[in-house]
This record gives sequence, C-alpha cells and structure tokens, in this order.
Amino acid sequence: MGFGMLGLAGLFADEGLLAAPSAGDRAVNAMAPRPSHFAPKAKRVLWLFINGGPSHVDTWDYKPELTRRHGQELEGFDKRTGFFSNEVGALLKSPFEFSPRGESGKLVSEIFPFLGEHVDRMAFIHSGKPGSNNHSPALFMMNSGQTRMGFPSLGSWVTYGLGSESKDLPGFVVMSDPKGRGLPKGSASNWSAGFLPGAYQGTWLRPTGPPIENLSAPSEMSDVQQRSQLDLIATLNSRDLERNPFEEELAARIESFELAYRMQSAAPEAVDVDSEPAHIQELYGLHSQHCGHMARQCIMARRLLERGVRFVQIYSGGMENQRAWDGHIDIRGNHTQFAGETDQPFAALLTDLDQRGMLDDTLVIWGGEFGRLPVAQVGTAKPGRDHNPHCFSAWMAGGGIKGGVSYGESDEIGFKPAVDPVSVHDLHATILHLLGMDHERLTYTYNGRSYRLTDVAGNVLSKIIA
Amino acid sequence: MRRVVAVSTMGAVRDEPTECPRDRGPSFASGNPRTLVGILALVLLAFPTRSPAQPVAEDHADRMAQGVELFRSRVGPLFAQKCLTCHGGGQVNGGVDLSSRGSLLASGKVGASAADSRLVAVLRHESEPFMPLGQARLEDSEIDAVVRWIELGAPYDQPLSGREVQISESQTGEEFWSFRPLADPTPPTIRDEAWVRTPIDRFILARLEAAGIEPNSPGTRHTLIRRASLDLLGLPPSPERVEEFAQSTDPGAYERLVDELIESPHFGERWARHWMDIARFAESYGFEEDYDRPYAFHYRDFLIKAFNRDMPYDRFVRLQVAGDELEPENAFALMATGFMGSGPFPTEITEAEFETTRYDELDDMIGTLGTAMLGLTVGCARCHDHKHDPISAADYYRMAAIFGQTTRTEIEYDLNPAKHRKDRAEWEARLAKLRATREETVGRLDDEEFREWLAAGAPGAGQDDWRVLDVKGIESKSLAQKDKLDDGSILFTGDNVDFDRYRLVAEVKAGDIRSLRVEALTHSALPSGGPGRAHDGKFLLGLVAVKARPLADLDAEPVRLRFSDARATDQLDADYYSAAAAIYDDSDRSGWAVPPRALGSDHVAIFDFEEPVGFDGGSRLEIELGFGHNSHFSLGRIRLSVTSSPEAPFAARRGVSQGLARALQLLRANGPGALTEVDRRVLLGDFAHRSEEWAEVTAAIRDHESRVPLPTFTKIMATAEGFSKPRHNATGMGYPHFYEQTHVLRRGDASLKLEPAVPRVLPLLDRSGDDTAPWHAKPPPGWHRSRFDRASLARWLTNHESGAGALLARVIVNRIWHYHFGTGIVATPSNFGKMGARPTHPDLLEWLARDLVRNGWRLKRLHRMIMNSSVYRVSASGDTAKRAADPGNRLRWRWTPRRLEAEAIRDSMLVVSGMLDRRMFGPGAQDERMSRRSIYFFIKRSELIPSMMLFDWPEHLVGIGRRPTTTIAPQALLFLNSPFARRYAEGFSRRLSGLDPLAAIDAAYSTAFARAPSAEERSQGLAFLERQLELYDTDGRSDPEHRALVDYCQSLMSLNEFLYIR
Repeated sequence: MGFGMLGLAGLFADEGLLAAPSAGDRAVNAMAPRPSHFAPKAKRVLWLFINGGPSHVDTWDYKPELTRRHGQELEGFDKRTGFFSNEVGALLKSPFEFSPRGESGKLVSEIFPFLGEHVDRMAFIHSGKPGSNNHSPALFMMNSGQTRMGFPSLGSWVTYGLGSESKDLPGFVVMSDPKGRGLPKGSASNWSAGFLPGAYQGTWLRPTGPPIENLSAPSEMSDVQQRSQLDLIATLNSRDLERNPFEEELAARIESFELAYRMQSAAPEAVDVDSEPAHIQELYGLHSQHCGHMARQCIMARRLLERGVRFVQIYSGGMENQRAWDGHIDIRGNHTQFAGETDQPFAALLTDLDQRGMLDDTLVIWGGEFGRLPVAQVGTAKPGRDHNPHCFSAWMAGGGIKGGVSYGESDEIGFKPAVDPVSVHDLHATILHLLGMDHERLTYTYNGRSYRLTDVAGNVLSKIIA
Repeated sequence: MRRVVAVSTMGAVRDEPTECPRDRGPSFASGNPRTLVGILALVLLAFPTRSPAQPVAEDHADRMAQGVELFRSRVGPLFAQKCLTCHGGGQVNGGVDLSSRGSLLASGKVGASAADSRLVAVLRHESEPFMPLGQARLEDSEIDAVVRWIELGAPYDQPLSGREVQISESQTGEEFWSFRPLADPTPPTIRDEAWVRTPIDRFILARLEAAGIEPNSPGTRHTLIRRASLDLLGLPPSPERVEEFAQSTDPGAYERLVDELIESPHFGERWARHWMDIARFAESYGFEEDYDRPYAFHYRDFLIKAFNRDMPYDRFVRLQVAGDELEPENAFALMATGFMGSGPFPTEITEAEFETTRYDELDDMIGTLGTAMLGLTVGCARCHDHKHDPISAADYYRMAAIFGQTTRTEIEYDLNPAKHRKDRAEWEARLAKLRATREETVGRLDDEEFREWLAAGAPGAGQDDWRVLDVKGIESKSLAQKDKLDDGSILFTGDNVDFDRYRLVAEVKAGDIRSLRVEALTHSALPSGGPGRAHDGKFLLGLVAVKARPLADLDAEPVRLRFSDARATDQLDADYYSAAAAIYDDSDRSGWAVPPRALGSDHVAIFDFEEPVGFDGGSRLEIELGFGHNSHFSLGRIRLSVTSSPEAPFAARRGVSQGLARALQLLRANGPGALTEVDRRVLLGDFAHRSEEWAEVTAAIRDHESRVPLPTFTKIMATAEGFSKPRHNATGMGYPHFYEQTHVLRRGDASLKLEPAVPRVLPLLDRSGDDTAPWHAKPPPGWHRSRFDRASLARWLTNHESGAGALLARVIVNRIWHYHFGTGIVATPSNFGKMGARPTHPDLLEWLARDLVRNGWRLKRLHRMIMNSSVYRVSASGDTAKRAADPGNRLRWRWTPRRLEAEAIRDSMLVVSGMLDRRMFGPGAQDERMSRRSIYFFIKRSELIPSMMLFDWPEHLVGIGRRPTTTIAPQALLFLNSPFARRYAEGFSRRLSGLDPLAAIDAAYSTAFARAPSAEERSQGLAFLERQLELYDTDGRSDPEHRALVDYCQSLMSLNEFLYIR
C-alpha cells in the first residue's frame, strides 16, 4: 500500500508536518517498526524507575569518608539545598554495610544481596546531575529532558523513532505501584507524548483489574456475536473505502478494528503471569509477601518485552515520603523496605533475560529522579536524608552496556559530582545511541521549532558502551 | 492666632501633582489629588463632594521652566551626542532609554533625587558600568548640569529624535509577507462567472482556471446539510431537517440553512471549543498536585457567548488581553482575561523555584498570546534571539515585562448589577421617605414645650465630649458602596479588595481637636456581622494618619498631625496588634485588631494628638485609614468623632454633632434670641429625641438601614493586575512569593539577570514607535489598580495600521478557514513566521483579512462568506486526472474529507442516541458519563477524559492550532467494548423501536448519515439483523431482536462514514 503525503498530513497534523521526517507508514500504523539511524546494540528498553529519589550513598556509591566524618557539620552547606531547610542535621554515615561483590569487586550495600550478584553486568554512573530538588520537575527531567510539564517522554521518543515490534500490543507500557501507594508525582505526565502524536503516549497498565481499558467484549455479547459485528463494520467500511479511494487513512481505520480485536486476546495473554512455570515464579519471588507484587510486574515486563514491546517502565514505590524511596525520615527503614521489595525480582529479571538470550539486546536501567544528601534530615526519631539536587547514581545493564565499570565520581561524601559529571541529557543521548539513534537527528518540529529529547545538549557516554 | 503644630517634613507625605518627576505612578500611599477626584467621581454616590484644590509646591512652575531650559540647552544635546546611540536611538542597551522622559523614568535609573539616581553614579564613575561606556568621563560641568536637571524634576521639552531606528537588535519585518501592512487586492476576473457565489470564489477559481482544473460539482443536499451542520455546530442534523432541506424547492434553501446554523446557540459551543485549543484552556493547575480552578469555566462561557453574539474579533482579543483594564466594570471582560492565566502552573515548588516559575508563567502567557493571536513563536526568543523571525531576546523580555504584574486571581463579581441597582434604588427611596417622615415629625414638635426647653438652656442636650464628624468625602481603593447611616456612621459594602485604604474628608468648624475616635461598628450587612470585612468579621486597622489645613485657605499645604498615644476598648495584644501600632509608624501592616472572641460587637479606639490642633475659622481634616495586614481586613462600618476634652472617655453615648455643639454653645452663652433658624432647627432635632413618635420613626429608619441590599457575588477566575498576588505553599525561608521586576535574562536563566526589562510591544510590528502611537492607552483619571501596559498591548494588537492588527487579521481569517476546510490557506495556523508555511492563496488571505477589518471585525460575516461560496460546496469525489495535477488539493477543486474531533464524535453519538442534554454554561463535569456536550467536560490536566484522549484531545498545556488525527486500536476498542458505545447504541435503538427491520435501517441511516441506505446496504443490514438474532437466539439470550438492533446501531456509529465530514 502506498501512502503518500495526504495520509501523513492527517497524522502529523499540527506544525510538524512540514519538517517531519519522511515517515512512510506512520500514517497507517504509528507503531510500525522503523529502521534506526545506525545498527542498534539494544532493541528494547526496561527502565526500573526508583521513584522518590534513592540515596546513592546508601546503595551503590560507597563513601568511607562520610563514615569518618559522621556527626560533623558540613561546612558551608546551604540549608536551602534540599526540600526542608529547617531540618538539616550533621553528616550522616550510611546505616548499611558495604561489601565487595562480583569479579569487579564493586562495593555494594547490604540491602542488595540479589542484585549484588549481577554487578559485573552493570555500568554504574556516580556523577549524575538531577534536574531539580523537587520531585515532579526532577521526574519530568528524567523522563522528558525538561523540568516542565508537556514534553514527550523518553518512551514516546523511542517509539516515535523506532515504532514497536509488537503488532498486537502497545509499544510503550508503564506500570506503577500496585499496593495503593499512588502514582509518581506528576502522574501521567511522566509518560506523556507531549507534542508528539497521541499514539506515542505510554500505555499505563492499571495495577489492579483489567490492565487496559475496554479490552473485553461487552458482557451481553459473546465472541461469535462480536465477530459478526466486526464483519459488518469491515464490509461497510470497505465499501465506503471503494467509494472514497483517495482517503488512505480509511484503510488504517479498517485495520485498527482488526488490531483491536487481536489485542483483546493478545494483551490478556501477555500479562498472564500465572501461566509461567513454577521455577520462574520462584525465581522472581512471586509468592513472597514482601516482593510478590514487584515479581508480578517484572514477569509481566519480561513477557511484554518478549512479545516485541519496545519500552517498558516500572515504577518502584508510590507517590512520595514513606510510600516511595523518599527517605526523609528513617533512611534505614525506608531503603531496607524498598530494596527488599525489588532486589530479588530485579535480579531475577536480569537472570531470566540472560537465560533467554534477551539481555544482550535489552537495555535495563535502574535509577530515580535524584539522589539524597550526605547530611541527615533530623526532626524525627530516626534520621533521614533530604533530596540531593546535585548528584545521583544509576546503573545500566544489558543492551550494549560494558559490565563491571563505573563512570564518573561523586565527591568524597557524595554531595556533588566530582569527576565526569553526567547530565540527564547525556544519559538520554546514551540510551538513544544504544538503540541505534542519533539524539541530534531524532527531532520533531512543533510550533515552529525543531525539538529533540536532549534539547541543545547531550553527550554519548561511550566509555560505558561495550 | 492658633499655632499649627506637627508640621510635616517636606516630601515625606507631601502631595505632588502627577507631572512631577517624583511621582512614580500608582502608589496609593503617596496619592495625588487628581486621583482623589477621580475616585470620588467614580464611587462616591452617597456624598456630595467638592474637588479639593491641588497643592503644588509654590515654585513648581518656575522649577519646571528652569528644568526644561536646562534640558534644551545642555542635557538634551549631551544625551544626543554621548548617550543616545546606545540608549534609545539605535539601540536600547541595558534597558535604559533616554529618548523620552517616560522611558528614562521607566528604566529606574533616575530616583527621587540626584543622590539616588544611578544615572549620576555611573556618569560620575562612582558605580559601574562607567558611562559613557569606553569613553572619557564627562566634564564636571556636564555632570553638574545633569544633576541639577534631575533635581529640577528631569523634564523634557520633547522626546529626543532617533526613535524611528530605535531597535537595532530586531530588523523590521517589512520584507516578509506576513509582517507587511494589509494590502487591498482586487478579486481577480475569471472566465466562469456563473461559479462565483461570494468573492472568495474568484480567488479560488482564478487559480483553478490557470491550472486547467475544473472544480467538482456541488455535493448533494444530503451531503451539504451534514457537512454544514457538523462543521458549524459539531452536531449532525436531525432526520426531519435533512428531509425538509432535501425536498425544499426554495433556491435560497442552502443560504437559509447556513443562517439558521450560524444563529444556533450551538454555534458558539463549537467555535469556543476551537478557541480553547488555541488558548490551552484547562481548569486545573497541572503538575503534581493539579489543584482545580473551580471558577475558570467563566472563560469558556465568555467564549461561547462571544462567538454566539458575533463579538467583533478585535474586541474579543482586547478583552482577553486587558479586559480588566479596558472594561473594569464589565464582568464579561473579566471573564475574558482567563485567556492569559489558563496555562499550567506548579503549585508545589520550593522557594528557590519561585522566581524561575514566574518566568515560566510569563513565558506561557506571551508564548500563548504570540502563537494564538499573531501566529508568532515569540517563545523561541526566551534563551536567544529568534533563529528565524526578527524577534530578539530583548524583545521577548520587554514583551514579558508587559505582563510583569499580571497574575491569576479570583474576583467576586456581581453578574446581575441591574437587579442590585433596582433593589438599591428601592431601598434608597424608602429610606428617603422615612427620613422625610421624621422631618415632619420633628417639625410638629416646634411648640411651647420646646420653647420652654430652649429657654431653660436645653437641659440634657449635648452630654457628650465627642463630636461626630460629618464626613464630606470618602474614597477607597475598592469600588465599595459607602452608605452614611442615621447615626453618622459609614457602612462599606459590595466590592472589597485586599489592603484597602480609606480616605475621609471632614470639616471641624471650631475648637481644639485633642483626640480622634474611631468606632468599629457591627452591622447585619457585614460578613459575620462585622465589624471587619473579612469573612469572619475580622479587621486590622494598620494605619491612622491625619492631615489638616485651614478652612480659610484650602490651597495651603496640608500639615500632618502627630499622635502621642492611643487606646482601645479591646485589643488583641499590647504590641503588634494594639491601637498604638496603627500610629506607631507609617506601615499599615501592624495595627489595631480585636481578639476573635470580641468579633461581632462594637469597639472603640481613641488616638490622641500630640498637641491640640485647630485653625482659626475651622479646619479641614483628611483622615487616612489603612488596612495592609491581610486580605479583606478592612473595616465595615466606622464612625469618626473628635473631642477637645483632654480626658475624653470611650463613651457609650450617642455623640454630639458639630452643629448641635455649636448651637448649644450659642444658646447657653446668649439665650434663645441669638439662635439662627438653622441652629434652632438643630436643637429641635435634639429635643425631638424625647418624643415617642420620633423614637418610632427613628427605629424604623435604623431597621431599614440594617437591610441594605447587597449585590450577589459570583467568583470568577480572572487574570489581571492590581489584585492580590499569589502565595505559594511553602515554609517561609524569606524568598519573595512574587517578583515585581521582570529582567532580561541571559540564556533564559533567572540566575543570570541582566537589566530590568522595560515593557514594550514587539518592534517588529510597531509602525509608530513611541508613546504617541495611536494605540497607546492611558488609564482614566483616578485609575491606580494597574499600569495599563496591557491595555496598550491590546490596542496595539488590534490596530491594523500602526500595530499588529494586520497580522492579527490574517491569522484569525486563516484559522476560520482552517476549521472550515481542514487546512488553512496557511497550513500552519499558529506559525506565520519564516518557519511556517506560505499561503496557497496569498491574495485571498489578504482580501479576507482586509474585508474583516473593513467590516468591523465581524466573524459571522466571514463564516457566511465561506459557507455560501461555491468552493465550500464542491463534492469530495476523486478524479485521477485532477489529482495528478494537484495531489494535495491545494487549489481546492474538491472537498477534502476529514475526521471529526473528539468532541464532535462524542456529541454526534449523543445526538444520534437521543441522549444529548443541551443545557448550556456553568460548571463542567469530569464524569465521563455525563450527557451534556463535550465542551462542558471539566478539563483537569492530570485526569483528562480518557475517551476524549483516544481521539487526539489536546493535553491543554500549550496552544494547539491544528489537532493531529491519529488512528489507533484503542479507538476501535472504545467503539466495540466501552460501556459508552453500548449505552449510546441502546439509545439509538430505542429511537428505532416499533419499526419493521427495513424501516429501522432507513431511519438509522437517515439519523446517522443524513442519507438513505443503498439497496445493498439495506440487504446487508437485514442480513446482519437476522444473523445476530439467530446467534443470540442460539445462545438462549432474552430479547434477541432488541440485541440485534443494538449491535447494528453500535456498528453504524463505529463506521468511518460516521466519523468523517464529507
């Protein structure tokens, strides 16, 4: 089927149509797979979003100097750095023990017994610079490269650029906390398509009940009746297309009904975790009380990726404070809990993807919106840590990543990046690069301006690429 | 002669005339007499007033003359020679523009004296940057001239020349098509005159004839009525109307149909929704908390009404940009200002983000204004000069500075002032009647008993140390209604603003004044009974200031009286919230308040003067009461009294009027024979207090006063200047919640501030170039709520000769065309800049814009001209040869079908199902199941209506000029499986119940598609109904016929034909 500019104009309406890249079949199916700029190392992405701001000095960025200076004031510290200016305490050592793991001997916090097994697959970034000291702008930054609302998220850019390998499932899927602790701050804006066509918006799987809206036929109807109804629609629409041969998008609409019909069976199948064999359920900890919910989401993620979904994001934790990795009070209790919820399932994912041969071309990212301060947040019985707008740690694995390396360093107490600072744009540029896309060429023209995920910045971190 | 004490220090509180250089505009505190007159004229209905004389420094005229001469001879030439190249001539560097007095003062570089003028410091090389930049310091004598000139008020004899080349950062845009003045093309001549129905057709046909393409013949009447109805109303026509139109033999049937549709109330709902896209209108703040804006819907209602009433487009634009300034009394204009503040705004931010957030907000305002109204991507110049269009970053910040004081605000407004006016008139008439009755009663008491009482020296009269002031003039910042009540108190009702200030004028005919008494009184018309105007009756009297001048010489400089002490019947504490705090300093934040338990009852505060005051021949007092502590903390009912007694008690007595005091003094000194008729009458009034009849009518008067009618206020979310500024949710770390000054920023970074930005419209579209421009707006006398920069901007936007009006007209004409045809003459409706598309029919666009302006900016005229044209009526048929010649249909030989928008799809389903609730206006609903038109969805940014989002509903974050049309499987899932689709199908099938299958199919086609089915479609329909019936029957389901029909109806509403305008 040859679809020319007319169909394209219909899809890339707004101001984008003039400068939109020649996008061929996007008009028929926005999610049709498209070639990348150059040979990709990763074909799909799984972002384990550590929501709330994980403390880097208590997880992956061991700071002996912080232990030595425990209890001392941090000279010259600006109390407005975090969120609570009136609860600033002295330097606080990590409450956790660190020990060397893997061949690389990476020092890992005791809260990650399972993930510690995989350090030789991981490339750590210890000099990340967040976008803000506040949740939602920092979340927007991490997801869209802008601290403001309304810009396309990474998953939207990726599916806009590459489409999806799955014909029957959404290309960009998001899962949030299933324990009733809320959505990340800024909720659906974090997976918004912004000014990109709505087809590239992330599909949020409802944490309980049917994961996708309108997925099952009306109760008063059985499949045979619905199929008959679909046949009528197809017949009448086809006649209509014959009468209006110039209207190419009518064909896409006809196809969309068939796709919808296929999705009705494909999507429930894709998320049917209970059909997994017992040893897999065991591996992820599906029946564990403290991590079963995350195990379920991780298995779903793997199944979706297996079926060609391009981009999956799982949020660990709900909205904020004690409902997420936002350890303002009792950093020890908070991080023990959330690490416990995720350690085994995340590690299982790496193992499972690897044993299926998928880890080589699946990029796995672990990271949140910012790090946490080396000083204590006081005011309650157990010390916490406030937001650190200067520094965070993250790791990536699989999909072309060099394992067992660390990139960049924070200063000796983990307050600010000290060596090779990494911006969020650098991170995004690197992810796109691994997917075979040049972040400077992945553009969309909107309201008279050519936009890209990395704005006017971004350097690919080639040292962590295998 | 009595000596006046407590003479004010010069300058501190002295009134100055407007033209005086040190007047910095709308500061109420330093208020000026013109302002006073204006306010009096505006709001003082209950009081007769006299215009106070303007106190002007004696030597004012001389000083101005000297200053002007100095400018003409020395300073002006000096500026022109050494400064103007960079500051107001070729460029305006650092925001300093020396070309006119206004622009110089606006730069902030000239203060109240030479000593606090930064201009002098940089000239003296005491402060960097040393000026003139990179050149030798000026001669001392030259600097001295500037210093003296500033001391003389920095007057100009005329603006310095060089303004016509003022902006070197921006080129003028004359070269580019959309920036030129409006041309006036003549509709071309064409061969086939018969095709021409409106002038539009000439432009279209000329191009088609040149290309050798014959336009399609008109669509059928069935096609046209469906097309026109969906296009103009967003609703399909009823089957009855379709038949009537199809059968009509009237040659003007189509034109009549168009008229009918354009005059339908649903027309406004359709076109308002288009504008809401452009205006990124939503009803919540967005970001993480996404609080609701429950009163924002008034803007949507304004749009619907404006389109229905065919409000001229220029006024439509002006009200949205500056309705609060241009028509402050008009609630409709306030609603219109919702445009500016409709954007998202983060409510949970840390203090360090307050300022950057404000710049983001300004960016949202001017960015939206630029794309919506001018098709200019002004926002691109935030971090650097615009890459493509002649808009510099400096232009951007000057434009932003116009909105520097503009904030979202909730205003209470009386939406039915006529009713209030009527109630009020009735109330006043009744009051007048009661007062007349009392006068008669008093007159009847002039008898022997009264004469005996007089002869006895009026025993019992005047037993009070306090003389109640007869207040002659009163003004307030608010437009409150002021009523003088029977007991001499003044009641404030109606309009209430934050931080109000009252100014009262009263005359004291004789005697020393030792103390001023302020009574804070309750009243049933006040919130919680008062005495304050806050919702719970709270008040805080933060400032009491009194000035006096002799009655004998009202032109004399007023003197500020100094207080020595203050006391009150009750006060919140002895410190910050005491009566003394009201006189302690000039701040109106600390002052007299009473404890919460004491609200709802009367209170008294007494302020003692340092020394007795009083001019021979009497004094005029100007009393100022300030309420700067908290929103709405002004007093609701006050009574002012003075005393000459050194130890006057708080006194619970009723007080003595000055007239009575005077008459008594005369009577007791010289006997009844010395009394004038007026004095006698005053005494009779007092004597009358003893009469039962008097007591009765007085009680009736007071009772009537307690029932003063109040306007009914409705809350409106407006975006305006001069109302309360927003407060963020944050702990007080000391960051300002609002940043008054807009700066030019380097790279758009609020931490890299350059000079303050001087408000200015885009030079690109300013063909006049100075303050004398015809669009320059001046506030009316007495206006101090705002700076009127937006009013100027609004007039500039709509001035097609010397402002941006030509572009404004082109952009709206193109938008209307775009919505009718699916593609604009310019394919990028929100971008008319160099990166935008070029017009396919430039002369047509120009002609339409010119026609719009020439005919009073009436959009309905334009709609009719488009709707009635031949080009609008052509069929959608394809033709391979024509397509080869013009594949994109740029020449418009055919109708290009297009998918309906989310609203029109849903509304069509509601119409077809017979379930549409046609009620208009008012708060929207977020419930997806509601059955009003989709424009009445409450638009909450974080919870956008899922079924609407499936069909490319905007995110409502930035203006959208053209919605995308995507095709995705979840749309099909909605048609197939959603409860809505089933519900609408049920409704649809109910309309067909009772018909035999064939008739039902015919009626269904007529309802859904405005046409009859073909024979094939009939048989397919019948076959489907039979098949479904059988399938349901086999399944043993109840009522299989009904189920089959519902399935059929649901299928029809899922068809492409249902979703497209053809």
